[in-house]
Amino acid sequence: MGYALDQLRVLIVDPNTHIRELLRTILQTVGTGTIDLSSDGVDGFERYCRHEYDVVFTDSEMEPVSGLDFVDLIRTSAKSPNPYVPIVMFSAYSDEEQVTLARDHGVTEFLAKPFTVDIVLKRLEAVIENPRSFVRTSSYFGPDRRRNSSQDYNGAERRKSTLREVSLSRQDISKQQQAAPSQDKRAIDQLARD
Amino acid sequence: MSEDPKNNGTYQLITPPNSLKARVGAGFGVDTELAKRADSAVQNMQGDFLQRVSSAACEIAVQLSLVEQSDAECAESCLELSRIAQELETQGTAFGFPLVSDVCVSLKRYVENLDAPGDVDSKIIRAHMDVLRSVTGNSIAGDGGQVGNDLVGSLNELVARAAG
Repeated sequence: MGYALDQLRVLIVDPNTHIRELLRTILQTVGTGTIDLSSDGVDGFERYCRHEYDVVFTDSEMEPVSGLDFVDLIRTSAKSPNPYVPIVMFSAYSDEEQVTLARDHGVTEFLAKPFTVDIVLKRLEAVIENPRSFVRTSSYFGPDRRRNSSQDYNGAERRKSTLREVSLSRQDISKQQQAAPSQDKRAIDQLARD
Repeated sequence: MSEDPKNNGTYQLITPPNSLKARVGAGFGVDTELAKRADSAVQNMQGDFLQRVSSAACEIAVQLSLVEQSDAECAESCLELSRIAQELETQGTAFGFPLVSDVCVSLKRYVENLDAPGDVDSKIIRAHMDVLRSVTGNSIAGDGGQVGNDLVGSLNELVARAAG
């Protein structure tokens, strides 16, 4: 028996109508409940703030807000309703530098164009089956970049910093958001202008 | 729970709830029958993409005739050619036609790097258009193999030579 995807709400952000439709067709055909489309990061983030999304798919090459800036908004803006949402970024540029950059901005999974149905569904499966812990440091907030970290590791801890482990419930996330200072649209507009 | 690490050497490892897994039920993976249906739907969209390439080749032909008729039209035509190439370039990779993307990258590079729009050489534009028509005429998916590589290589060479 496969997943019951009808309860999921997914956001797709891509400036190209045909690419949006391609992804929507794939996700809709496999039974995804609600799929919202957006053509840019500004509109995408506004939508993200209005609804509770389970997964976000975004292109990396967008204007006026780039895909990486859009990811930054989701992960770090005080207005973001859920900074922990899985984000799948797709790009025509899949060299190591691009993938590393995406990872360092908090992308959960990376998808190189051209994508096939199989690859899209594998990424969806990855975010469902292998949820990543999140790491917050002075310079990074996002999924744990040590994808292969093992609980059985017995060697010396190579990180020089001190670890604090935190488990969150959904209520914790809601509380954090309620406590966060409200951030108005100016921040996004500024980002768009930059 | 504090969300305010002082950042003097500390980091937090946060485990959010896996609400996604809870929402999709006890099953594993996407239903294979549905995945097959999605595959068919995408294949139909690839056919639509070839139609768009065909329309784009016609649009390029229109711009080409404008360029050949009058120097005054060159600047606007170059902008339009760049837009058409950009549009197809993005879609080509996504729909499984990287050869189309490569041809469009070459076309875009040519029109965007002209010293002056009046310098445009209609033969170079036509060469790009012909390759796009060949892709649609022969339904050449993927990178077109050795022939595709040779064609893109020739186009790149033309563009490089024009740039001096």
